[in-house]
Amino acid sequence: MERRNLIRLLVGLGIGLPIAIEAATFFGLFESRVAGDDGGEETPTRTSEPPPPDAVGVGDELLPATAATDTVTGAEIRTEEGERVFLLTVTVENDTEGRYELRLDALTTDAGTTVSGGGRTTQLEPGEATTVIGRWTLPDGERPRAVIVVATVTPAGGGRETVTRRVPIAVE
Amino acid sequence: MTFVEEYPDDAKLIRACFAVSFGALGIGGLFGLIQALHRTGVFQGFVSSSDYYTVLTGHGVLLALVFTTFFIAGFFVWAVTRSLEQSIAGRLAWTWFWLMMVGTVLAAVAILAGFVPGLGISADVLFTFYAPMAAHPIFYIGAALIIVGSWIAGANYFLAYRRWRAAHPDERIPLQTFMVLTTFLMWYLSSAGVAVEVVVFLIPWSLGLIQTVDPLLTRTLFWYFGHPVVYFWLLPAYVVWYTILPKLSGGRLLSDPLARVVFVLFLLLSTPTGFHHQYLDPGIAEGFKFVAMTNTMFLLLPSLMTAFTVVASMEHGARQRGGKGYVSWLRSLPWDEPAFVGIALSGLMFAAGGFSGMVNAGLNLNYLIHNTIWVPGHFHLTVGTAFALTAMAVTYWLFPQISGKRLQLKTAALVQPYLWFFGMTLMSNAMHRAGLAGVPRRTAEPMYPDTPGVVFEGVVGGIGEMRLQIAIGGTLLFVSLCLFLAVIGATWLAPRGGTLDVNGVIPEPLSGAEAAPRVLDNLWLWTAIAVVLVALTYGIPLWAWIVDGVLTPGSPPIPV
Amino acid sequence: MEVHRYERLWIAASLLIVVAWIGTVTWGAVGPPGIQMIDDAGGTVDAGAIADSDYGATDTFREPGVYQVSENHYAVYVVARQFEFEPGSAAAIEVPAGSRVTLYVTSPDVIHGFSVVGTNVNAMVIPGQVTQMTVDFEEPATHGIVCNEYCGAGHHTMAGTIEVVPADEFEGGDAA
Repeated sequence: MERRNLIRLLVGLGIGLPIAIEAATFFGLFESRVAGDDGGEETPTRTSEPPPPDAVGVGDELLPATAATDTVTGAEIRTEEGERVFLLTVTVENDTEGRYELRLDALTTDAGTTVSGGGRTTQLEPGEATTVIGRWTLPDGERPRAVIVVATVTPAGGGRETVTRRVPIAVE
Repeated sequence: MTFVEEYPDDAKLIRACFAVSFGALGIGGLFGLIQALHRTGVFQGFVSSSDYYTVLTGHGVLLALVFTTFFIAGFFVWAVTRSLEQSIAGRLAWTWFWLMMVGTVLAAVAILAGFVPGLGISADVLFTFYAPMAAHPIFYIGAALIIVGSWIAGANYFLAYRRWRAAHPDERIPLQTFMVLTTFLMWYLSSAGVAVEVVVFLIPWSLGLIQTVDPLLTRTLFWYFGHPVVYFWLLPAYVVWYTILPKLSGGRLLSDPLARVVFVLFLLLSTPTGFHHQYLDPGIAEGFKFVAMTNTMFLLLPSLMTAFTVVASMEHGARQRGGKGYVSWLRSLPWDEPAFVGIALSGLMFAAGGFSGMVNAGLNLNYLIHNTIWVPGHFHLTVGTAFALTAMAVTYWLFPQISGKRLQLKTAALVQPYLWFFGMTLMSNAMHRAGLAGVPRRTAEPMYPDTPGVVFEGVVGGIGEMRLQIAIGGTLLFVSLCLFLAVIGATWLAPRGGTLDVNGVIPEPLSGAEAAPRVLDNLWLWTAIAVVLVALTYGIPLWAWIVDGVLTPGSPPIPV
Repeated sequence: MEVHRYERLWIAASLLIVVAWIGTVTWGAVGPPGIQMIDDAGGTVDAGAIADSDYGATDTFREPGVYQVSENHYAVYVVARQFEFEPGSAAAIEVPAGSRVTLYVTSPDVIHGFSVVGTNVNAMVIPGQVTQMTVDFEEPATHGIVCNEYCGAGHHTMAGTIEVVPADEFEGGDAA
């Protein structure tokens, strides 16, 4: 591209667009102030469900909030090579029409310690099923209290949604 | 003669500083991209949400401590050597370089080890490392070495000045050296706080030599340093805007004396302001917070003065190039030269950042945005652009002179600052709006889907749109960063020889040093006043906390 | 030292802006809007005692919960810890509409934030210190509380709720 035109393009987009964006924001603020309304869209993060009261144990659904079925099939503490390890086994069945992925993230113990570890599934196509085993090394004397669970749902119609929960766990 | 031919040892030292600085910039910038994609929900596959905080610590420390300090140290070697016309690189110089280097490696190892489970070493404490969260001791030791190394760099500049003064007893301090010295006087005064916090408290505490530290005291010592450090970053950018930008615009600096006044004002006012980061802290009486607010507001003055001088000098340059009219002279500026473009755009962006900073400083206004993502929106305009983009842009002009290589990939160099400005506008605009809605900063997942009542309502635009804008802006910034690294990398690897197409001559200001009242050069006087102001602002609260027990109310280390 | 006329005007205007800005902020803090600043009124506390739930050991804090102080004044004691508010997370904090509530918040472990989303109720919670702030809850509403100061690997899960219930539905806090 010819030098002169490149400069014009850079100045136009690189400086002109930012000025336009800032002007649009300014007028948006002005408008909402003058109009006196509450402003833009509300994010639907409210839920009418009560916070999860009961711990999830073997046989329970790990994440009732998602359409896919995640069943806890094992929650035990084992000693491996002198280390106390917590293993959480979850069987995941993607009985939805979109893709589904489950990740087991950090674990909190009853003493308040946070332990990193966990595990994740691959992305499951509709109809696929798999088992994921989350693994955390426990500090001496401490027991698991809750696990942070993240599910990523990609519905057939498009878009993507992440569901994060701190799930209290009942150990066998 | 180019700088590298006249002062080869200093050129080598500056190149070493820049190598470390840009390396840190690259890694820190990559971490920034990961963050921008993770917390907006666009892509969370790089790291887990708990490892996000390791990334965030790396981003803050590598960019706000390593990239900045090494660049400033190297750039100031150039400024002092050039303005005093003497080489300053020698054993002392390499001592501070290696000390800072060792500190950097220690801190980086502590942080990055957080990715490796089972090592038992981590430093997921973020750039502010507030106790009682505790990092591995080598993190604190590394940070302390970087600070101490920088002190020795300052000694290097002061000793050089002393040598020069002995040979030039009656001359005015050359402007660039004056700026370096006042910046470092401010740095010594301010970094004392974090040095005490780390060396007296956090290192022994993390090693188990003392059982508890007082979290409020250590946090206050951090913020004693944490506000003036931003001027440690800003003032080198001002050195560029005052002494190099006018020349790049085609003209001269309007006034040397006013530049000196501005730097003296920063020496006086930068440190007695730290409580404005602690407006929401318990344990600190309202009066101290109020005084910090008024001091901070007065800091607007030297920056507004700078705005006048910088714009006036640019206009002067534009008219030298044939510009006419009230506003159309802007078109006669060299918008096809990467160094000019980056520096000019970073100055423009800083104006916006300065004003959002005044909101932060506004006592009760602060309650609306404290610890929301508005705050990173603000500081990405200031340190993230005014400092970082100026550093990148001036390197296009400076690097050929300190290496003897012609600048390569010039089209990429030209696109880079425009892309940075555009990407930063997108990201920072959305961060400010999301912050007004209450979206928190420093969090891996800013949605709280299972907590009733947590609803973020945007005033202009919806939350989903803001998150997307942050992700896009952050990605564009990363692309711009890659362009910069490619240009400098290619230039570094290019063969030497041939004529440079960069003009390193800096013309004299229109109003020179002789017009500046002699008292401005009285560094002892200004330092003394600065110390008194700090004592007035911090003396009483710090004394009260020392007297009630310097380690109480105390907390033991909580490893993260 | 010669200062151009335009520059002198500019500096004068700048000083005016600075002083005006200080004025409006002062008015907001000290004047009619009277937004109370967080200060040292809450006093200090032993973080270890809070960690041990030994609330009898201190006179600046008490067992977490909602207490009625007088006709329309309630005191709410909240412990912010990794990674929940007690009360707030497992059970919402319940107060009646039209009441004045003084919140006392502290932490047994690390520094946290206490931020009621969409309002100016925003404070730091520092171990060893008690954060005291007074809020008027006029309308029934459900407010979210977010910890907005990084506090560890589970920081992004730390949140809670304040339920402002209609006055006739309020079932009362414990006596002061």
